[in-house]
Amino acid sequence: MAVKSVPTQDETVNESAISLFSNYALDGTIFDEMFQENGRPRASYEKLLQSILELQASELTQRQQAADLTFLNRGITFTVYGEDSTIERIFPYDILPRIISDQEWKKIELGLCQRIHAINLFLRDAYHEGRILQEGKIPFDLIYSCANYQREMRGVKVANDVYTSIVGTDLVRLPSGEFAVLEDNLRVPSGVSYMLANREVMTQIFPGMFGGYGIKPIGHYGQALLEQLQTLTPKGRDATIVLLTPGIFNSAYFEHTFLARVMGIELVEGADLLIHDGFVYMRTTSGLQRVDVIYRRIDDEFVDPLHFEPDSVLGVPGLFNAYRAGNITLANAIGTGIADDKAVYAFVPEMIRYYLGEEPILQNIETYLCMRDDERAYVLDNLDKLVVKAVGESGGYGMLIGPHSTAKERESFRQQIQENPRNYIAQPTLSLSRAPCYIDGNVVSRHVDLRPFILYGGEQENTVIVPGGLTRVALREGSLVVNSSQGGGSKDTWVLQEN
Amino acid sequence: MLSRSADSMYWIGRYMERAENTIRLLRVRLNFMVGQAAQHGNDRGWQQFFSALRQPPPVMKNGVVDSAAALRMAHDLTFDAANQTSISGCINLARSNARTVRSQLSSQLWEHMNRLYLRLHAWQGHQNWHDERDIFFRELESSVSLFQGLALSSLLHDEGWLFIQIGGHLERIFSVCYLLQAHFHYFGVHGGEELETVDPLNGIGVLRACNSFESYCRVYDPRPETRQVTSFLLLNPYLPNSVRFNVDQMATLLRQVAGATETRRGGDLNRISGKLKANLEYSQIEDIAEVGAHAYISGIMDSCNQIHDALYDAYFNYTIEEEFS
Repeated sequence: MAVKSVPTQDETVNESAISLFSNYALDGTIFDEMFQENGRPRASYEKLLQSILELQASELTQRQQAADLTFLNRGITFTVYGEDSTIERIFPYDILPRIISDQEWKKIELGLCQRIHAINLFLRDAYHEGRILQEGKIPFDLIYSCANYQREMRGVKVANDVYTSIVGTDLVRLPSGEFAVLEDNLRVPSGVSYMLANREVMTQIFPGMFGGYGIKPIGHYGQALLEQLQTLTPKGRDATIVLLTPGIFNSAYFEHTFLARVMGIELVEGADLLIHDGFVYMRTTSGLQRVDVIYRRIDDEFVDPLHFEPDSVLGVPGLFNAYRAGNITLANAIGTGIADDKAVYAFVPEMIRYYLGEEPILQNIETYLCMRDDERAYVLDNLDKLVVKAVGESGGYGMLIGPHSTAKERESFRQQIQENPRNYIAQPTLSLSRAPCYIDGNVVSRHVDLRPFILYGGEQENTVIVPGGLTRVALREGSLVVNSSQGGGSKDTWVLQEN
Repeated sequence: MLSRSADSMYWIGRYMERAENTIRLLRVRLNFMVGQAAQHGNDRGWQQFFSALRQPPPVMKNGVVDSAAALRMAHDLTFDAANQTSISGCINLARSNARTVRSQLSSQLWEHMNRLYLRLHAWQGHQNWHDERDIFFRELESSVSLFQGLALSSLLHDEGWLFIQIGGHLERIFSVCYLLQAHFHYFGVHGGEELETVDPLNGIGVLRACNSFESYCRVYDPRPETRQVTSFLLLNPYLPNSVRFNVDQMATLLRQVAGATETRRGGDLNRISGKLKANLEYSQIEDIAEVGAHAYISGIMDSCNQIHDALYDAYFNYTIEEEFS
């Protein structure tokens, strides 16, 4: 692998600043967010590079510490279970922003609007007529064998036919510089609070640099989310909307409190809600109050112990009946998991062509379905080169990264695939793009992805995507896993204004 | 407001007040001990101290309090998070409650509580904790006071604030009652006079533990007597640490909650708190002497327990049948 260090053209830059970059690796087979192949910075990063070079390493370290302290003092933490005891940790934050040009962003935005619209049309179809299945574009058994297929949802009318209105789709940047979709999170996506918190901290620690850059704002996410939720009920602005959380022990609890606060709605737990005569109420000091919309951060199977997981204490007994009767709106709807199943993912381009008659603007990653005999054979022959994923898992679990795996791990996956082929897919090992990060006194390059947050309003036109999203970083050198539970961190993401 | 949120607000108020009480008692007790250590063979102060905090009595050796053991217990009362009276336990619980109602709190208040929590944890590993404890307790005390100030100045004065305040006042009433029971339970009881002479410094310690010694000196002769200290801490209408003052405030706040929530369920609360308020308003120290301090204070605590239960019945945990009937 050809590794060369970054040449600097500017002679006025002091020695210590250049040494900041002495460990920065460039590699022709991996897209670098900051530098072109000739080592010169990309246009969008020029000013940032200049600012870094003007600072001493000690100043960068100071700002890193200030940022960490801010996260800690504000309680912007996630909970880690196991490892002896339950502890609160800050989500590792890298102070150097990831920058996306206006032009790049426009394409992402169009592509995501198209994609999420098609997915919603698919969800409606799959739970009603099933045209796309009858016409053989997607195999029947793929959908009905999906663990997240909710039979109870067949024929249920969903408000405005909006199944998944709150989405986080993971994008990666390929060596060509193109963004491609790695996966959609259509059930209860998280991370948006970190996007907003990262921005707030960034403006505090680098006010000068931030102010001069012309960055599209993202602070209106809470308003946009509230408005989106209000469209899901005829009561509109008069609706009582609540956010349903599994509770303080959930690892995303900070995010739940954060979103409830920015929207000015109640953060409720299952025990705060009850069903009477088919309607949902919350228990308040002034008596019981009708609830119209629940933004639920609880998985389908825990929403209602009477219909789904009977042992669940997180949900509300009888909620599903109220939902089916049309007396309460859930966002997202029940059963959206069939569309972010990692095997169904392979068919999203087909959905776009089928429902919209358009070609996908954002490409998928090539995907092998282990349920198909020929593709499975290929996967089993190439376990050391591919990434294998369990279709229903998330958070970086249930995954085999071929080139980084041991023979034992591959053998275990081989068995699992053969036992339950429907449950696995494989993709080529991607060389995710790398972006500059400030780690231990050096600027180094680390793999990143991007999760933009999409608010779908029933049409492509009334879909809102705040510019940017959460850039997740694999902080360990060479690692491709960006999940916070597995050594990942995040950084602020800037989408630049049009020149 | 969500019933569970109101419940959490109430407990934030109680735990922060309880933390303040434990901090102050610890500081006063440890400082007092430094001055007195050598003089008393049998230091009743430790027993009273633990009794006031509803903790198990200290270890005795040959009928004398084992001061090393007492100090260890004092350390646990600071850092043992499993103990709901310890400073650490109270701050943890207050913060946990605050996390569940984060959206009802101002950022200033939440961040302050969070910093207090982090600070306490930082101190826990501190080697010279004992030598620097006075700085430590003073820092904590002012941090807790700042909590009260930020609550007052940065929160919306709606139900949530009312419940924090109600919790704070109720907890303070209990603290003063337990303190008085630990020190002056004999007052007005047959044979009690003999006990009065045991420790002339007792009164000062009690007043200091209530942050009221300076106020006392402005009202009375600065040589505290049991009768006057008891009267001052139970009946004075202007002393922010007296039982009467806190009952007055609480009764007003309870009526405000009833108004803000527009329910009819607050009736019991108004009745019980109004009765208690009237009792304190029209009692004189002679009346207390007649029934004995122990019985009188027990009566106050009974009423406060009823108020606590009535709060749950009215606002936090009412029955659904009642709502739909």
